[in-house]
Amino acid sequence: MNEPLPVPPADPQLRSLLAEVCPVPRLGEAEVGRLASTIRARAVLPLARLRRPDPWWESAAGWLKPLVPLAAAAAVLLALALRAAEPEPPHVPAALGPAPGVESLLGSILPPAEYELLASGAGDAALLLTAALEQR
Amino acid sequence: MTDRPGPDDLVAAAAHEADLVERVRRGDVEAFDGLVRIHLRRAHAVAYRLMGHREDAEDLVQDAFLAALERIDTFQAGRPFGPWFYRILVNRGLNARKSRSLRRTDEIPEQAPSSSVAPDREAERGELKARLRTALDALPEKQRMVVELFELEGFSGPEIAEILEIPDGTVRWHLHEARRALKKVMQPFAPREP
Repeated sequence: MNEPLPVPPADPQLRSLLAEVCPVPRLGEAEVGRLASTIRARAVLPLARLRRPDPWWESAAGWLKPLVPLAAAAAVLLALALRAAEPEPPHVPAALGPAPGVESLLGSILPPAEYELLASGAGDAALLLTAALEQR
Repeated sequence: MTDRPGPDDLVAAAAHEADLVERVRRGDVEAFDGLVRIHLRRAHAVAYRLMGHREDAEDLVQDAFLAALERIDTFQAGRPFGPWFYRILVNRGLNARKSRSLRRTDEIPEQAPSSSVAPDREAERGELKARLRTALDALPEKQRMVVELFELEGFSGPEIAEILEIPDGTVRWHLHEARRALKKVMQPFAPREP
């Protein structure tokens, strides 16, 4: 296995030559003070924001965030459970259509006089119906 | 050249800095000012190496400190502040260099030659420096940055790795390659054995 490269040892001659070749203006005390004051002035507002306590909805949002996926999963499970518990609707063959009313059925079988007799309850219903069916 | 602090100094400085960062998180103005003053000179030097102009360097330093403040919540407590901050500074510097036309590079007056040095030695040294600059300019950008951060600004290999977001081994490789190229230039000027 290859040995990792070590950090090269210090070379004072190279370092001093490089410092001469790539000079950098070093800041004096006055310049440090001036630049630090400028940065401090620009930092006043961001620092004030950091001092202000979070409004309640931000902290609430913080701890509610992990609950969002749990709530979504619970909602899906609940929907599936409700769907499973729902009773099956009775099966109605679409070809039959709605059942005809008893009155219209009797009206179409019996002659009008006998229908009125049946509707008033005066006649023998079984006899009247049998006679009407035999006539047809 | 800066004196390197001892291990105890480093531990104490790190603890102090961690305390300042915690206070800055709570909006402490004095703590932020303290943090700025700890890093200002070095930040300016690194910024100058990136931008090549004093005012551009000052702008970059200001922007980097304010950007660090804006995202102080993302700083991982317990880690050193320096590499995290210099990564922001270097990234912003590289972006700024790409996106805007910079002011002309400052010419920093060279130190006057010492009167005690013989004129022929001085001429030789001038020649060596000129060749060294050419060799430095010929290095890939990242390699040059690694050399300057390591040799001139005193950052360690792992710190440079974090600042430039490259593996530690890559930093050492860049250092070896750069040293090899620069030593080659220095070779003919090495003092001969009597």
